[in-house]
Amino acid sequence: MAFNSLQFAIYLPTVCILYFILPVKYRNYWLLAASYYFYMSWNVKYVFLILFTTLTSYLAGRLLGRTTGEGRRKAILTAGIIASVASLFVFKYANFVIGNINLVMESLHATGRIPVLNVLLPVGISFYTFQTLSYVIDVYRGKLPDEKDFFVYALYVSFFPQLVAGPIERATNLLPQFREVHRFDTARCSDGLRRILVGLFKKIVIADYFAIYVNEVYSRMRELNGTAVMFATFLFAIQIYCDFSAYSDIAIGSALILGFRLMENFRSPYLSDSFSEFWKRWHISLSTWLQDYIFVPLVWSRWWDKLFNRHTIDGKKPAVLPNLIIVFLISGIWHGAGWTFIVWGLLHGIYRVIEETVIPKKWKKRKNKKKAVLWLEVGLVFVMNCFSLIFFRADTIGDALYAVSRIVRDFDPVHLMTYMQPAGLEEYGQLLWIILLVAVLFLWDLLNYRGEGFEKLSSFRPVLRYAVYYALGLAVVWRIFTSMSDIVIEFIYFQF
Amino acid sequence: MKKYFLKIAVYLLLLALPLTLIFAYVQSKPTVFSGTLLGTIYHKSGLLDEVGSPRIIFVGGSSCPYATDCERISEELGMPCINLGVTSYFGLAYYRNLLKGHIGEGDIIVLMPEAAMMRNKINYEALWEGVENRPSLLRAVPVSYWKNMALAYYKYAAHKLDLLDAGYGKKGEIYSPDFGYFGDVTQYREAILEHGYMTDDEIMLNREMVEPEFLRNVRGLAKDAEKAGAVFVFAFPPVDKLAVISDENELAGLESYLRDEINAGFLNTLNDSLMEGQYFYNSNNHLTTEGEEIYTETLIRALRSVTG
Repeated sequence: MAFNSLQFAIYLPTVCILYFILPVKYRNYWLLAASYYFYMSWNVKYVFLILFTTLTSYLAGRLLGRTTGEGRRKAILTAGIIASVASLFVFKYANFVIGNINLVMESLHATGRIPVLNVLLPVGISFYTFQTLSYVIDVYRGKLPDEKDFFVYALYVSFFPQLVAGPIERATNLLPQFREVHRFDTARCSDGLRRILVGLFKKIVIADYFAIYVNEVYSRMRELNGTAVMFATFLFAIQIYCDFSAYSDIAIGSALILGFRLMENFRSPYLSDSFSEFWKRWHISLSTWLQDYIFVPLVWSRWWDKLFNRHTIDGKKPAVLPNLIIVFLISGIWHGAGWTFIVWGLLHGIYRVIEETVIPKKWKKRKNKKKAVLWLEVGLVFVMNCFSLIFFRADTIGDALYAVSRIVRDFDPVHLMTYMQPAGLEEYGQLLWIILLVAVLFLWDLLNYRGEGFEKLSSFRPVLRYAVYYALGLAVVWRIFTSMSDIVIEFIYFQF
Repeated sequence: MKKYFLKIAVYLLLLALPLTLIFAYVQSKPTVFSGTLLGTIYHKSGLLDEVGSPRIIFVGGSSCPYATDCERISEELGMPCINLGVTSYFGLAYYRNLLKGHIGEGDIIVLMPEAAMMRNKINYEALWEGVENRPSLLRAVPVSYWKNMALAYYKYAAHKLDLLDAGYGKKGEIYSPDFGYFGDVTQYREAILEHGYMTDDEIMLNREMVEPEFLRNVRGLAKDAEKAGAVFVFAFPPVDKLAVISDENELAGLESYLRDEINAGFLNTLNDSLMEGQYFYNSNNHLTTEGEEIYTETLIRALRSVTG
């Protein structure tokens, strides 16, 4: 059941109405049942997997809460992490590893192959696994007490708004909210509906429309001109941003109607003037997760320090460079079991290392940069990000390299329309529509730069405010009825 | 609180308003597809009221009107014959709804589903073109179609407005192939396919292609017939042998699967329905006049055993 489906349009009001009608003591049970139904609407069988992960992490948390000896606590933590990561590995990475081992064996002319596992990637596994990991680690670190109530904990893992594509919530934020009494609040409901509307606009009007051209170009890359590939990559950068941030918007909005506050996941990332800033604005819940549970522990790890951190920058501060690369590699692997994602992560690691080593600190901290320079930096970050996205979008490394070579060889933006014609961009009206949508998104990102977009929107004069809501709603409805498709286009991040 | 929900309801109604206006505008325009193959559904459904029971009713895709000579069947069996089949892409659920309340005692319902119907492939735009603004035809649209019918409306509406702009609609038709009174094609037809079959439409026939939804509707139709005191029988429609890419095992598998799943008499075998390319007119399912004679003959012989 995708957020952009008719089923969800029926499901969400039903869940909300019953949630507020039910006596408080039954509400969490209702949410838990609704969340499991939501998850099972993809594949009933995988409910056992989420149950397994929930149960093992819950038990690890309970044991950590009761155990005092450091050695034992470490052993429980390790066991809890292994249990969560093991199922993620089996379902997401095992076939990738097996495939690569078989490739190596093939190249060495060795006999025998490891058979691939007959498993499908369960929806949202990377998201809820990271959520359970953060809980176990936080309990170990003493940041929060272990959750005694299994049903509340199961709800934390499976809470439907953020279950399949985040934001990756922290137990410290979400668990206490299940103990609060939420009353229906019209102002909060309006905030939630506003977010859902903006999310639907981003997904249905922008992302799904751009996807038509992106998919066409990337599936026929070798027949088309490099300029078309370049344009499609630019569109993909917008598409993936709109697609993913739309999911977060709808998730946050749905939770808000019920009275829950989820963390922000996107904050105008394409207006970042550095990659350090980009990662503070893009998929915030993942980047902060990686920072808190991978990067910081690595920086302060003694044995790791012996391995890497001796290589300091100008002999003054502990080197973070190898750790940056490692964190971004993990980020790449988290996204998908494929070399393209690894290269994408590696590229971002390299970007960050370049930033740390090449750009002088003074320049980075300078506040009074000229606007033109600032926009130039924003443009450069965007272009470099687009370059990395070629690897993210391509099916294989070979395809990505081919795309890069074609873009360099055929670069001829003046004749864009000619090159895009075979991909379906036949009229200037279509191009104008794309430009208009990008402009709308740009304006929205400017408004939302400090994360206050929705507050600003609701402070508009009523006539203007309602005109905006109506225009957004009408665009969504119009796009649904003119897309001529009964197929609900899934969110890109479902595959992760 | 009431005021708040009222505001939301007004917002949703205002969103629906432009669509409603477009719908009202397009629906108020004259029909433009009534003379096409799809538009014949109006006339055919009218026959269900006009022609009294007992009668033979053929249900299926476009192969039905091209494969059955209703006049001859009527003469030979002494029962009137109605050819309800228009296209497989209306889906069996739609035909079932059209027939609801119209099946009479002694009727013989012959289901002749093509591969697309067994796959439950539905073309909602085609269905709009068939039903246009006829209330009796719109009423028969199954609830399960509504969402996709709504999504297909824009394409239908755009097509219809284009045709109206081009001057169609005043005459009430785009083209009019020669359909007989009973809904079958009566114009003389010779084989016109260059290679004896439509090369871009290879046909795969196996048990995997049969959708559970199709089987549910077959059983439902059989039950409807039984309740009304009618007989329900199954016939494999003609298929160009040259276009079939399934092997013998797959064909045998499909036939035995259907015989197991459908509790009805079979008028022919799957092998009987695979005919030589020379008998096909303009598609892998549409017979020439000569092919129609042969196929009709087979049906008459089989139907005699049903009518006694």
